[in-house]
This record gives sequence, C-alpha cells and structure tokens, in this order.
Amino acid sequence: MSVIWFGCAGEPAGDMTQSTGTLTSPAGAMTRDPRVDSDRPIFVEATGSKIDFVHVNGMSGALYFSEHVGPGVALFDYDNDGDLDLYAVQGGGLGTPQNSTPAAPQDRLFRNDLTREADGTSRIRWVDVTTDSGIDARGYGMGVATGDIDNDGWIDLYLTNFGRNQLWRNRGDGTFEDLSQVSGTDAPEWSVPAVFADLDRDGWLDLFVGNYVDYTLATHKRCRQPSGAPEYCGPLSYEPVADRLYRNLGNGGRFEDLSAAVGIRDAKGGALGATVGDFNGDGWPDLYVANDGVPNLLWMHRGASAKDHLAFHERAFISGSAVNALGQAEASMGVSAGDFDRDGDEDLFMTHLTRETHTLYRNDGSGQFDDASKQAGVAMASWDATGFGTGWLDCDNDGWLDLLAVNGAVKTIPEQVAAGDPHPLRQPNQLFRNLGPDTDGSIRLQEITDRAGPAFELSEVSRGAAFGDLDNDGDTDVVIANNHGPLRVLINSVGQDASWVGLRLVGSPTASGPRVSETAARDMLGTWVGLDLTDGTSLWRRVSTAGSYASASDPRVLFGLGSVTPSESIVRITVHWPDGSVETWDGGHVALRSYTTLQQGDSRT
Amino acid sequence: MSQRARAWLSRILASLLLLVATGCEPGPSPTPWSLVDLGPVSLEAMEPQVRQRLHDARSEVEALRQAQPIDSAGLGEAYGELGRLYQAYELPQHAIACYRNAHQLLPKTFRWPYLLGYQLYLEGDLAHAGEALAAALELSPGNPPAHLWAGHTALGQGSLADAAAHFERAIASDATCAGARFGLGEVAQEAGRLEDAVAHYREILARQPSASRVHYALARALRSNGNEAKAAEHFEQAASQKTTRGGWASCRDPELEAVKALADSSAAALLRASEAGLSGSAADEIAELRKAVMHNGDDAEARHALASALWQAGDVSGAMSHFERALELRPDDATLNYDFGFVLAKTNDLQRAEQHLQRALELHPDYLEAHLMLGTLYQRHGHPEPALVHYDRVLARSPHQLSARLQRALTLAELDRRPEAVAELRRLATESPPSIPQDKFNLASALGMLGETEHSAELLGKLARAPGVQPKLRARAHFNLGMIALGQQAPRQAREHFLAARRLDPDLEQAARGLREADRRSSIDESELVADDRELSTP
Repeated sequence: MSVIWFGCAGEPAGDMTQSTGTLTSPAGAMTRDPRVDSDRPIFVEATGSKIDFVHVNGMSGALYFSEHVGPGVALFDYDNDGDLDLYAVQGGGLGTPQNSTPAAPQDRLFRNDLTREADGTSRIRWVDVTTDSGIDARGYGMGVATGDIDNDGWIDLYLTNFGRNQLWRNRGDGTFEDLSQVSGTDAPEWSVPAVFADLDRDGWLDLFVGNYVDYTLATHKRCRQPSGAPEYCGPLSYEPVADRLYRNLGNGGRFEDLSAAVGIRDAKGGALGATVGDFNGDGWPDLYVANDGVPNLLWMHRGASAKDHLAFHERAFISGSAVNALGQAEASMGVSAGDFDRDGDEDLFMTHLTRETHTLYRNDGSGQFDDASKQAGVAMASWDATGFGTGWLDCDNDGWLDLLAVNGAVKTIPEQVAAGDPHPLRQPNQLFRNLGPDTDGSIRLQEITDRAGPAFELSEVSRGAAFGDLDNDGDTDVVIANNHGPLRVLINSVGQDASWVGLRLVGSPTASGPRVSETAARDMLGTWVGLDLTDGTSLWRRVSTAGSYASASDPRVLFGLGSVTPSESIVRITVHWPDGSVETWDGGHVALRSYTTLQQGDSRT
Repeated sequence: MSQRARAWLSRILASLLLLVATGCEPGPSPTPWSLVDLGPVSLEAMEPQVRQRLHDARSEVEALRQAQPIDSAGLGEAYGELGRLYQAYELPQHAIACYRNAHQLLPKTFRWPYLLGYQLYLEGDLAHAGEALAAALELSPGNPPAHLWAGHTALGQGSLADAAAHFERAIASDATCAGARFGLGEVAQEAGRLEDAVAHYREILARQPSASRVHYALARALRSNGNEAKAAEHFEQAASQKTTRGGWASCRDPELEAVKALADSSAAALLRASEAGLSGSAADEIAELRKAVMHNGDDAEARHALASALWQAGDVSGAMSHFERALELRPDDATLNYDFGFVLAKTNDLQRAEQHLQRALELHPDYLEAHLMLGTLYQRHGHPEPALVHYDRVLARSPHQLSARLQRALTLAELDRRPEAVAELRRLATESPPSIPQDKFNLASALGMLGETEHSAELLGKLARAPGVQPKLRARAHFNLGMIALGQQAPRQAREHFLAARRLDPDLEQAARGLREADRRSSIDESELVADDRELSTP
C-alpha cells in the first residue's frame, strides 16, 4: 500500500521655590485656571541648545509603506545624573544601500547637561554622545522602548525596526553593548511598539513587541486613489503579523520567546501601539495592543494560577475595548493609559485616522470599558486628525490629566499635493485640557490647541511623542518626533507655577531581583502609586515608560496639586509594587515641589 | 428699520461695492452670488481618462463663468456635476466648494444641498452640514437619506431630540432604513433609555442577523442595562465575526450611489474589488477586477490582481493569461514574478516556475517567500542541495520561519543527515512550539516522516481531539495517526483513526484506502465492519 503523509537617584536640579498661588484645590469642580487661560503659551520650544536632528524617511516617490510609519523617540536618564536624556530614532534610505554607509543617517543619543541658572531657571544643553555611546543603530528605525533589563540600575534600550530589532545594554560607563543576538530578541518582523514590564512578577523586566504587517520592499504593492494617482497602501493590503512576548531569563540580558506558549501568537492584528496596565485591578499586569484597521487586543493576565505566572487571555471584545461605540474597528495608532477621571483605575485613549475620531475608553475599575469619546468631547475635535503619539499629562498641574495627540496623515492631502508639498501629509497637533467633573459627573476634555503654543500652529507629519520633565521643574515636557522633519522639544511653561510632587519608585536590592546595583537603583516599572489628599480625594499614577506611539517616556511620576501649598495636604502615599506587595508612606515623607525617591521596603509608616 | 429692510439695504450696498470693485475691467458682470473659488487640483498623476474628465468638467465651469450673460442654471449644473466628479474621486474640499456654488445658483434643486450636507458631515463641519441638509429637506420633505444624515448631524451636535425626529422621519418614509434605526438606538442609549436602545438594535438584527456592528451596540446597551450575560453573548457574536465590514445595510441612497458610480477609473474598480475581497465576496471582487482591466487593459496592477483572484477561484487558464499580460507590461515587478512562479509551480510547470522565481530573486535578493518556494520546488523534484541553500537563506533572515525549518529538516534527512534533521525538529517542538493548528500538524507530520512516531503521535493526538480545530485538519491528523498505528502493527487502532478521519472529512480518499489496508491486516468480525460502513454512509 502506498499512502503519503500530509504533508532618579541623584538630587535633581529642580526648581524648589514654594508656590504663592491662591487657586482652589484640584478636587471638585474646576474653575477656570488663569495659568492656562492667560495669553502665555503652555508649551514653548526649548531655547538655547537645539537638538540637531532631522528624521529622514528615504522617500523616493515609490511610496513604500514603511516610509511614513516612524519614528519614535525616548526620554531616559541613561547616565543616571538625574536628568532626562534623549534618544532619537532615525529612518534612512529605502531600497538603496544607503543605510550601510558611514555617512548614512542613524539614530542619535543626546545627553542632557542640565544646569541651574542664577535666576533659578533650568537650562538644557544637548550634547550628541552617539559615537561615544557605541550605539550603532543603522536599521531603518521605527520605535524605542526603555527599561533596565539586567537590574544593574542602568536603563537599556530596545529598538524596533523595519528589519531586525536591536537590544542595547547600558554598561553604566556611558557606553552600550549590542545584545541583539544573544538576547534572542532580534526578531526580523516589522515591529513598531515595544513595552518593558515585569509581566510574571519575578523581578525582571519582560518584553512585549508589537508587530505590524508582513511587508517587505520585495512585496511592495502600488496602491492608488480612485483617480489613479499613486497613494500609500493601507494595512489591509498586507497580512498582519502576530506579536511577540519575551520572558527575561534573568541571566545577563537573555530572553525566551514565549509568544506561542502564553497565547500572544493566537491573534494577529497589525500593532502600532501598546501599553501596559492593571486594567481589572487584580494586581497582575495586562497588555493593551492598538491595531491598525482591525479590532484591538486586550491581553488580560491570567493571574497567579497561570503557568510560571505568565499567560494571557484576549478580552478586548468582551471588555468593550476592541472597537468603537458604533462597533467599528478603527485604525488605532498611539495609545495611552491613565486615570483621567480620578476614580482609581486606568482609562485608555487612542488615536485614529481622519474621520474615525480618537477614542477614549473609560474603565469601570473591573476592566470593563465604554467608549466615552463623545461625552468627553474628543470625538468631533479629532475628526480631521490622523493621530499617532499621545499621552495623558497634567500640563497645568491641576491634578487632572490632560491629553496631547500628535497628528500627521497617512494618505496624501489633495490641497497639499496641489500646492506642491513634497510631503503632503501635514496636520497640526492637538492639546486637550481636562476640565474635571461637570455637575452631572461627566468629564470633558476641551481642546486648547490655540493656547498650546507656537509649535501647535505648525503643520507637520508627527509620529512619536515622549513625555517627561526635561528641566526638572515639576511639569511634563514633550518631545515630538516628526516623520521626515525635525524633532520638537517643547518645554512646559505653566505647570511649574502650581504645586506638585514628583516621585521616583525604585527597587531594593533584596526585593526586586538578585542583582541591583548599589550605586544606581532600578525604576520599578509597573508600580501603581497613589496620593491620598486631606480633602478625601486621591490621585493615581503608574510608573511606566510605555504607551504613546513607538516612544518611551520618563519613568518618574508627577502629581499636580493645583494651589495646594502646605505639605500636610498629603495624607498618605500608597505604593502597589510590581511584585504585588503594598507599602504606604506618611504624607510628610514627601516635600512639595520636589522629587522624592521611594525605595521598596523602606516605608516608614 | 425693519430687519427685512436692513437685509435689502445690505444687499444693495454689497452689489454697489461689487460694481466698484470690478470697475471697468472686462470680465463677468456682477452677480447676486458669492461663488466660492475652487482652488487648484493636481491632475498630473491621475489616469488619463480621469484627468481629461476632470479637466473638461472644470473647463466647462470656467467657460460658463466667463459667458455673458451668465446662465445661472447651466453654471449651477456644471458646478454640481464637477462636484460629483470631485466627490467620486475623493477630492472632498473641492466637491464642497462646487456644491456650495451649485446650491447658490440652483436654490430649488434638492441634489446640491443634499450632497453638500453629506460631504460637510463627512468632513466634520456639522454646523454647516445641518444647514445644508435642512435646505435639502425643505425641497424634498421626508427624503430618507437626507433625514438620516440630518439625524447623524444632530446627534453629533448633541441634539438628541432633533436627531430622533430626523431618524423617525427617515423610517416613516423607508421602513428598511437600518441606519436610521441604528441612530434611534444611539439616541436612546445616550438618553439613558436603554431598553428602547435594545429594542431598536434587536429590530435591525431581526432583518440583518450578521450585522456585527449592531451586535456590538446591542451588547453595550445590554451591559449598561445590567444584563451582563446577554451582553456577553452579543459581544461574542460581534467578536466571532471579527471584521466589522459587510453585513450592514443602511438607507437606499440613489444620489450617493450615482456619485459612486461616476468613479469609473481602473483604480476605482481596483479599490472596489479590494473592498469586496475584504468582505469575502470573491465573485464581486472578480467582477470589479474585470471592470478595471476593461477600463485599462494596460493596467498591470489590475491584471495582476485579477490573475490572483482567478487563481484563488480555480480558474487556472484565466489566471495564467492575465499573469502573462501583466508580466509583459511590467517584467521587473518582483511580486508579479513571484506570484506567477508560485502558480506555475503549483501547476507543475517547473521550468518556468524556476525562471520566474529566480527573476524575483534577481530583483530582490532577500525575497524570502521566493527563496522558500524555490527551496520547496527543488526539494520536491529531487534536488535537496539547492533546496537547502534557499532554506538557509530564509533562516538567515528569519530564523523562526516555521515552514523553512520544517522543510530544511526534511531536506537534511534526504541528504542522509537524519540526526541533524531530528534534532532540529525536536528543538522546534520544545523551544518554539507552533500555536497555529496547521503549523502543529506540519510539525507533527514532519516528525512522523523522520520516524519520530511517538512524538508525532502525541502532537497529532492533541490536534485530533481539539474541538476548535477545523474538521478537515482533524481528519488529516487522524489519518496520520492511522498511518503510525499501521506502522506499529496495530491495525485495529489504525482502523479507528481512519474511520474517524472519514467521519470528519468524507472526501478524504486516502482514509478509505487506509481503512481497506487496516482491514486487510486485521481479522475483524464482519458484523463490526458492516456496522461501521452503515455509520459512514449516514449523512
């Protein structure tokens, strides 16, 4: 028979002056805030030292799909000197051997030499240290993630590429070593977002990598508008690719690809955004993945019963966060998690295509979401925007998280084509202010782009956005990465006028892993920290570098306190550490208008 | 002075100012209209016929504007028709400008304020959309699509009562207008009348049970109303359909259908084909692709897409002819060469397949799919050495590529490097086990082929028992388990697997042959055989 087979440790150079404000408490219904309502721009471009970086997307007229997707940007303190440095992701040539030549554009690392001037103001000076750092990232860059993979207290870099991804370990002496291959994380798929988080609570940061579509220059398709004019293809022209999840083995930067074992490879989406949070409040980290043109994914952690504490089940539809209120899958790009309504859980905001509107999913605390875009006022305001980078930030430090969305089209804009613009995808960025609860309890986000500053009058092709306090003055600054354009460093000019508390949450040598440097502490990514105030309200923030679009942000957390002046206004600080333990500190442990470092196991309650 | 008198005076003043502004310069005489400038349109990159069409329509407008006296009706029609073309070719701002002018010039014509309102709604200009749609409804009271979009506009502005009134009017004129019914559901949900919302959504589902969007909206309403269990059911139904495309019909809208039909370019047909393909309608996809080719026989993309669609539909000769013509038009297209090579390989035209796959690799040396296909081709036809070279090229770029790893292992075995092959498969099974059922099956089968029957049987057994796996794949898993059992001299066990395979996939002829072989090798009671045969013959 023939049958065939079928076959922050140092003291920051912050502005420590005390507030003389006389505004009301941040709790309760908001009154108009003179800081925001004045003619003063909220963000100004950094003066003095400029970042000498312009993204090059390699556009040649072929309209390669990958050319308008990047770049991201990272803010991280690579030299542990207490201020945020900047990593800029570069593109390069496409379809040419340009990226292998010494003169090719490449990613850049800029050191922030922050100084305090005689008048008390901080001054940023950028120094390009790329060559000294040893980082030689010549791939066609997409995004960046930051985290201390080996618990040595020095923040490492993971770079997503249109091509093989790279992992650069920070040696702590100003240089980085390439661990891409030995780490086992140099997957070849086209990746955009990446997230570091201690997903199995073993004290070591694991890595989630979001993959986009199965596209190479070889499989490039020529897409057209109905008129026949050439147009960039959309994601549905190609097959989506499943994401990857790597478990940190805790032995010098080696990871194990557990994508299949933990369930991540069971779904393919076309990921452009990703973030981490504990959306159902069970103490285990969950992953949210923003997909382009198909339903989003919510990987809920299976908890302590999961094998090796690492398994997920996909719950986006059942949780109400897969598609918008009309049941339509949207082209999700950037995503940000934050407690915008101050009810103690993380809500989700994500950016979408023109005519889709950006979407706000409000969490009821149990991991059930409802599309609140319309009620919050962000739907119509974002109608003609194609959004990418986004983040919750309390730009006026009034205690309510505001919202920034950076925009840039993905389909050519006819009027810009007719005007002869070689990069006709330009759109202005947007800033929304959280007005706090209205009389009926609803919370509105009011667009205040017209007061956001001169940079918001520009029309650029923005992609990544990273958030952090660049000048250590207690408010959140923003860096915007433009496609085929300059990087914009926007300094917040109003937030520092209000009261604030800054916290850095770090691990202890005994509690967070076997090898923590004695000289540099590790940021405890995933920590959920709350401030209880005397008026009975609380503010919650998560220590995270993830979210936005292909970018990495400041791991420190900032609590805006409006006009609160006495430090007694803070009753207690509650810290839920990534390993599940909870600690509290007396409010008196922190000083207003300064950064305080809280180390795990060191509470003095 | 009364308001009306003030309005008259201001109009007279405006006319006088216009007279002063135009002075004695030659040109059109002053008009009572303030026509909107259309702005430039970039025509260069468009298909020649589209370019000509837009150019002609615009020229007609310009000529009529210059004519003395102005023929307002003719100019209005010309603006409107140009606007429809701009809308069809996705130039929305230009369409809006045209419709504004057409509406001014022909204030008694429904079409122009309606299309203006619709386009303004799409652009998010709700205030002006509402005004235009109101003007349209004055001209055609009760028009269902106009009420539908007026309702959505009012809903977007937060005017729930107005929105509801418009949706009700739309339904009164067209009871099948699911879009208006959905709008009523939205209004009820926003107003907190959740039971009403549920009723509206259920009514749509009674007519269109597969409308996943409505399942989702219903689930939200049910959850808000405390009915978590029912909500979960509908969330699941929305999720099971995955795509939110298709399965949804709103109001019939002759005006918009006519505009859509104006986009008769090859590219527009390609886009419609793509939509049809994503909605799962292969016949519509092919019909649109044929239109694209008829529109422009030299459109290589259209030929390529049609060839691929015909191949998928089983029309091999049709696919071949379009592939060949597409390659004449664009011989240096790597994807086209690869796709044609793939099809040739599948139809056993090996020489030409190799030629086109090699051409794809000349054009793009890192074309992994081409390397993989060539490897498979060489392996299948007894050339393991070059096959190995191509698999290695794939794995150098993509070390986890499952097919390449499996095929490479089998190729190593052919090259008498069986221990290496087995080690590779074991590594694959333990280090990065596949999660997709077909991949699991392939791995299990490859293990079986290399004699790792125990491991293979374990993987196949799990697959055969998995209820979520497609029956045809489970049938093949049972079949391979039967083969393993036969090899282990366990014909009764083999028989059970072949029977299970036939139950799951009656078309699996190999299972019948396997069954006969198992029967031949075993001494089975005749009555048992008869009973099994009766069971197999039961539908």
